Amino acid sequence: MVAKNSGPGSFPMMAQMSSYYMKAVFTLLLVTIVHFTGLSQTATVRGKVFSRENGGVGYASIKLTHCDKAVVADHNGFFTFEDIPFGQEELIVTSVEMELQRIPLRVNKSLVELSVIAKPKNINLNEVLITQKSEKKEIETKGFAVNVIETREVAQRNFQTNELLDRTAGIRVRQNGGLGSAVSYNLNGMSGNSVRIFIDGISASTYGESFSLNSIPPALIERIEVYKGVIPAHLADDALGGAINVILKKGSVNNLTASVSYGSFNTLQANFNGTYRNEKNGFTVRASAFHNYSNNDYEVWGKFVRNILPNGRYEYVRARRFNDAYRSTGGQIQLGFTNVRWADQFMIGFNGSDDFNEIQHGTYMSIPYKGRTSESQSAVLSLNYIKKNFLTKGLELNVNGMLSQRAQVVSDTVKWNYNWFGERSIGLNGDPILRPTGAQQGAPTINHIDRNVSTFRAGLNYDLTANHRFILNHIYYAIDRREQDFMRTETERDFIGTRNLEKNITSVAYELKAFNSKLKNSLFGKFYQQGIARMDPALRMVDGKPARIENRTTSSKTATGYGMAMSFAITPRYTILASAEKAVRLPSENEVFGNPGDNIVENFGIRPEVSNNLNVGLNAGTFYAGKHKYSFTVSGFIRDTRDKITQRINPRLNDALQTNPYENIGRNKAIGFEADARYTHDNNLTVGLNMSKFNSVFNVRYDPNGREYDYYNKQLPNEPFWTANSNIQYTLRDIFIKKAALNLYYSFHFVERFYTTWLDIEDFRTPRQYIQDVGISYAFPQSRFVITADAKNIFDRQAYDNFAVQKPGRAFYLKVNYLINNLY
Amino acid sequence: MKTQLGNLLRYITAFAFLTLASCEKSDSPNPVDPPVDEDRWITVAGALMGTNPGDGNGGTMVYSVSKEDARNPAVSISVYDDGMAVKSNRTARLQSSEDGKTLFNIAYTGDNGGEFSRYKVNGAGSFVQEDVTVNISQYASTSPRWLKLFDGDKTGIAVNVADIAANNAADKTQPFKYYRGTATVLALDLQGVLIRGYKQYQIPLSAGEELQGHSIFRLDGPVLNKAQDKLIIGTWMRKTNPATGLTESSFDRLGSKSVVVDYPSLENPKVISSTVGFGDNSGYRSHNSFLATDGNIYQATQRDSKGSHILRINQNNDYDNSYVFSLDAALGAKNVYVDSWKYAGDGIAYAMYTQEGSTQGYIARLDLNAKTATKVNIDYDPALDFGQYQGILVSGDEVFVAVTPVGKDGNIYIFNKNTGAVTKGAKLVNKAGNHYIGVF
Repeated sequence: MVAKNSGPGSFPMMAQMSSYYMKAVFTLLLVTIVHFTGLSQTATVRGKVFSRENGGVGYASIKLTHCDKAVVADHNGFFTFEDIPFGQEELIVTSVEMELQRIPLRVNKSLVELSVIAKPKNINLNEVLITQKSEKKEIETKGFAVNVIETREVAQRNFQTNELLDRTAGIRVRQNGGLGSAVSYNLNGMSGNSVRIFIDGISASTYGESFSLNSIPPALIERIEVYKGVIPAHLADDALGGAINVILKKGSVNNLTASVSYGSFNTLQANFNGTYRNEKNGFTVRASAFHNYSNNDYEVWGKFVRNILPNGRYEYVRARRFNDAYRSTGGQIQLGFTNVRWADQFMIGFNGSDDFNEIQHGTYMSIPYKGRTSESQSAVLSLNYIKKNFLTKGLELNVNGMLSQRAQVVSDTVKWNYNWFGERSIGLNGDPILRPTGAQQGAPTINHIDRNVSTFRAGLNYDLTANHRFILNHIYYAIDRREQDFMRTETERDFIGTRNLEKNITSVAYELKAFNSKLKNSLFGKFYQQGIARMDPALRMVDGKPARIENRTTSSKTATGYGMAMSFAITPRYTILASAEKAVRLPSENEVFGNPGDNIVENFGIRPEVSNNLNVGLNAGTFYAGKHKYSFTVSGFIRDTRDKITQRINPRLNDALQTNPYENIGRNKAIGFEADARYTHDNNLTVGLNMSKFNSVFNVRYDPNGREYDYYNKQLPNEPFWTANSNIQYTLRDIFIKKAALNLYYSFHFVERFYTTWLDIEDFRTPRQYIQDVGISYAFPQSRFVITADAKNIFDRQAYDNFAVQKPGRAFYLKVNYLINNLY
Repeated sequence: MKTQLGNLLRYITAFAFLTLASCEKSDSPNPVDPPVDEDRWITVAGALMGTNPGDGNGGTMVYSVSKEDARNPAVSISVYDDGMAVKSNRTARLQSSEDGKTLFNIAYTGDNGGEFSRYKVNGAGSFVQEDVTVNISQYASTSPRWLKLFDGDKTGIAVNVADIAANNAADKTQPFKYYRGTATVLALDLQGVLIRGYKQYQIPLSAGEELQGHSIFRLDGPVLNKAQDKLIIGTWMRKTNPATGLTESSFDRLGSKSVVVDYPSLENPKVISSTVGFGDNSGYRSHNSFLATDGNIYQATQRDSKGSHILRINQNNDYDNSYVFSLDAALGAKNVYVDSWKYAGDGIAYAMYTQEGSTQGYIARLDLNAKTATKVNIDYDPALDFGQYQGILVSGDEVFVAVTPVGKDGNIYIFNKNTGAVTKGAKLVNKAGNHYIGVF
């Protein structure tokens, strides 16, 4: 919390500051934490400092003189005061970039919003650096192993949300091809259904594929919180290895942003986002929409791309993907009231989305498909009510209800083999060859899967004092699923069972701040209850006639998890973080009931998977040395997973009839570390570096004979265990037009090679990857227009997330962003 | 001249052997003798576990020794430490040439699933993959079932059944008549490394059987008849309830069926039925039907409601229902199940089996003419499981098998087909969760 002088400034944007003033800032910042003891009504005061020429003014100091509270605006000029007593106030805004301003203010409602128009100072001054705590930093220093990805900057570039996640320490996004293709997330060595995705704290399965990380553009996202291993109480789901929580934008000031991007492979991405709020009555409308389309017809080549000649020999080719187009369209509108007497937020919303995805291949790209597609739609009705000081002071109520209808159709009926040129493969007799499975991926199917999802969440936070908070959260989640394969006869469809799932998760937490907020501690417990109802129709003889009856069975499972997160600021610049959780994952419906289609029998006794997760870390920074500014974090983690659910195989059972159930037999362990460093020079150059490396190992030591497994402590196959990313940004100001900014970007992405099977042979090893992207953006004055161009994978390297599935090569994109920020 | 050269070679190899041996660590297996021209490589294969012990899904490794070493109990072989990994994501489907000098493999699943490759056997862990491959996945899927015919290493046959559907799936106005899949029979030229030919067709059962919902779920275990003009292919049957579309887990089994097709045209599929056996006869990952010295074909059954039988198909390519050989009766056990077996010559065969629903494997010597079976006296262990066994080798009068319980060491055993003598051969060093799956 220090302002620092350097030599006479050569940067016109910087303002000089007297030593007296520096002291003032120093004092102001020291009083940020104020204990509140009064019983009178309090309000939240928030707003934005901006200049008409340059938009938001970052890092301005804002002080309320009567209650003696001060904050620093964030990078974009936004600031918030909490717990401000009602009454007359005076706001003083100071910044190196603007003249001091005094604004009288009347605090008479629970939320007061205002905008401060800065008058720029035109003096050449020394550089001033002030530490500040953004929401990102606030979350990241609570003690959890969490990355907060802010989208403000990247939203203006040609990036998809998944690409953004993939560049974050400890996350590996594995996508089976281009835009829209199937994706899985690996967090610190745990993946699959161990990782749960949330949208605004609600399980993403409420929305389905069409409104997912594949389709939601960064521009509609405020931030993404990635919790690794230990998950706070308010994100209630049985997430064994981590959670990704996407916070959508929720402006409560009038604004409209829109952008459109076009580029290689006929990729079009457009979105808009707008908020209107009536100052008088608080009526608020928020609307957003997106549209994505891509042919994904990028070139693939190499040893996995070959046409098979009639005699079975290979012909290696370089070909464009021909069955990989993707389209998604969606939007949401919310109507209601914000910051009124009876509610901080009362919104009723509708979210609708639709997508269509061609599937080019299965697990490996060696066999191209034609005509296999998946389509999905969802319609979600939602209600959200938030009230601070509900009934009593310090009590916050947050209620969320959602009803969702999801529909999905997977269609695969083309019965011929195709080669990489999109032509039917011809057999030795000159006829096209039938697919050995009947259709492209399996048996012919037009499978309609309909789901009705209900989600209700209620949360209560009670702040006993500023240092003690109690949290109670309950979530109810119910899903009814119906499946109909129209490639099967009507009789057969009549005898397909249904599965209904219900989950109740109650979580409680106690949050403590002590020693002037140097110590933050959170203890939590989570109580899971899951019920699954199975209905399988069967034929029975009733009065001598066959009749359809319904066999119903239910399974109920409960589990308890608990954990803690703690942070301790040794000095203002060094914070130690530690968190631990006994995390659980409840068995899925297939794991309990088996699957007649896959011939897996039931196992009612199956237990939840359990993982003991531990993270320790150190956040350091921000350090200043002249024009240099840097910060870093390092952390280490352990994931000790037991009772892993796997399926034993017994070939003697007739797999036309039955196979073995799922059982709790596996044990894995992951140990690793990650590091993240950030360096800024003179507010022009920013360099970010991060890396993550872990050992995810087989953790069963002895076989039943007491012999040690060779795999014990050996890296599990098919785990990208070492990744590193770097990005460099350089900003040039006043290029072509005064007050305009030109940004140059470069990023580098490294994935170490790994084996994909237990056999350590080169044929089953992925190549080491170095992918490089460059970009340029030009922001017109006031940042109303921003034009960005990106070139990805500039050296056209073969990129792989999954073994034998090539990702796009060199590609170019151009994007135009438009922003109307009507704040006054 | 020849002898001199031979001597020279022997000296060189002996020297190399000594040099190598002196560098060997004490825990490595005994080194391998130099090849003797008239000798045959004995290649053992081991399957690595994937996620669970004994699942064999972690891949396959191979290692070759001389016959002499294979017979020598003082020699120990560790395929997992010293062998070569065969290029297959899951358990490789191996076959060997009659002289043992070439190993044939079709990769099972994975990016290269369905890829046929040949390895030259050079002894120990040295196998050199020949640079020509051929991929049959378009015809027979990436997880094909295939076998080599006993025709002097000329031909491999891969079979597949796909897309079993009701006749009225698309048009519900039609009455139900049958569930049928599309069968593929493919001939692979093992020498030229080319696909020689293939045929795809639906194979009907009798109208009555089909109306009850019976269908051919899988084909496997092809064998060439004596006249070399027909292929006999084993079947794995399934019954679907036409009233519900659900597969039935217990049903009255039909008499065992085989599909007979013309050879080499692969045309004219015909179904023949036994009235003696009531099980499937597809086998599992190894040969299940053999042309015997008497010109008949003998076939084992699996999942037989009356325990495994050995069935006879005569030279008219039909079941000889006068031949009744029940293994339950011959072994005096219940519910005998043949995992893998091999005809050794002169009416003698060796079978790996389980009984009474247990997974523990046993080996029996069968006399097909006398219809008798005797349990062979070797070391048995409850963890001995031949469920994934692929290769019993017959070389001359000797029958070679690899016997290792899952996760435990075992041995190569050599049975003399004439005398029935049992020899405990080289030690097979095992690893936790793994097992040896064949001798080639």
